Amino acid sequence: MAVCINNLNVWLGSAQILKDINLQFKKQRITAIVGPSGCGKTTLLRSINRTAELEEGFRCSGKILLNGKNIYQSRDVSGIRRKMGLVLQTPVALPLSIKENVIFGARYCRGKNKQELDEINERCLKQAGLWEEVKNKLNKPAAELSGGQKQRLSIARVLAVEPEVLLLDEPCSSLDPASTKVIEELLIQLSRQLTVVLVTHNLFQAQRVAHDTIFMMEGTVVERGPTGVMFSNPQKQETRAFFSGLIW
Amino acid sequence: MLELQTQRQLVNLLVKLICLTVSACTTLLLLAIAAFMVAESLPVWSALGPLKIIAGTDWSPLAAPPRLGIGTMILSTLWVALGAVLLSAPLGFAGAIFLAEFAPPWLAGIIRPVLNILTGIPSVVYGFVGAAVLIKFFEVSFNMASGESLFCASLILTVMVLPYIVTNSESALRSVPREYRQAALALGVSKQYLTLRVLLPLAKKGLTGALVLAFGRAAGETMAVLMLAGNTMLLPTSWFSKGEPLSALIALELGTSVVGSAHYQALFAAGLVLLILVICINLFLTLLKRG
Repeated sequence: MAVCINNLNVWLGSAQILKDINLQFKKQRITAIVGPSGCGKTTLLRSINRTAELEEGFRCSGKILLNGKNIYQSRDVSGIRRKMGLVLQTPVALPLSIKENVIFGARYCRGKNKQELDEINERCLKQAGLWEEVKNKLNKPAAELSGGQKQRLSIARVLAVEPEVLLLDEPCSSLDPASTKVIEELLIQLSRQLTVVLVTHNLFQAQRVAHDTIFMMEGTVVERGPTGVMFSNPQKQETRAFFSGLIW
Repeated sequence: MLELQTQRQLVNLLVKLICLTVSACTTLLLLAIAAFMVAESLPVWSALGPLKIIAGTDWSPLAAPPRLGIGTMILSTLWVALGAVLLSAPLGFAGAIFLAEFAPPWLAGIIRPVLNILTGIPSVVYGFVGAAVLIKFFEVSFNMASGESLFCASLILTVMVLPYIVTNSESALRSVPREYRQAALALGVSKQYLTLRVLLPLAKKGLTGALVLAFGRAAGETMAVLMLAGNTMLLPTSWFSKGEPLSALIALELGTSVVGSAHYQALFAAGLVLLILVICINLFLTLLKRG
């Protein structure tokens, strides 16, 4: 079990965002998290990545275990953030060249060995399926890339710090169908090495790529199970209603 | 019913008209000032030619014929103002970065109002403090006969424009979208690394704007500069020379000049040069903001 969440509660100020979450994300599998807007999916991902605590008024109780160790007891916060790679909803191109974008985090934690950084750059761009498109303009500003390319660049940037878990927060919500397809194929490939957690608004996407699906509502986990079972035979009334488009 | 509606339309029209007049007046005011300065100084411009006035370094308005070169003063103004920007830029940027990214909220809550108060202190008070403290300091510690210099004026101007630089740079840093911070910090990099490699490049325009604004303020400042720059008519050869910036020249001599004389007109010419300088800076700033 790569990531194990026990009795996680999260508050932002006086509002409780996550209530008593118990979940496991398995290695080499894609887990999709679906649910209506504002149900705490993003906060859950950011709590696992330990960036939620940057918000004012963040409080949490319970445990998040990575390979059996509670990440909230670790002193090495940046180490945790690197292991729990997080890709945001909006594709972000940092104001640097394409190559510097990819090695942004690696340069910080690995130092300045140029050859090593070049290797990381090429490996991660290839992994993210972007290498062929950008190999001739690595030193051009990353802002010139298209939305889909920027999102793959974001994934490459996260891969460059060698995460064990890849958390993606609606990575395709601002992309066209072609780019979405590329990213979905990429996720399936990456899941052979990593634990992948995918928050999505697109139920078809969950069906297409996820091994397991979790349905969240109002800060709690309503139902979880293998994707096929969840979609064909949901147990709870709320899940059925959501899947048939009654709750959004 | 109908009457009420026409009444309302009338009121609406009236309000629109008032707003239009007021906003038109502010624009017209600027034009009027510029036109007035041009009209008052036109005789000397045409008599001596712009080059002789702007590049000339000999200011003897009462000689016959009067020599009216304001190049010395223009150089002093630029020197004092650029010097102030040079000194305040690193301090101001550092302060802005601290306030925007590192300061705990309670500390920022103290510093921000203090900066606002600093902008409200009358410039004559700054000048007075400078004259009493800075000049004394230079006289005593460097054994100078008189401590005034362009450098002194720059130092006081530094203090005066610092709040503008800090406030404007801070808002430039704050206006960088959250996603950039989130994406970078999620990779486990430090805030310093994030600031240097991501936030500063993204806020570049706003930071430059803060400097340009500070330069405009420093170039136009009169009172403090007048009290500290030394006010000699010699061409400044170093930052530590004495000099008389344009604003000080006008303030010192307008009262004693004979209305309508070449001297009087030349002072208006000096004012026009200063006005054009500041307007150019503001235009540049506007263009910068539009991208």
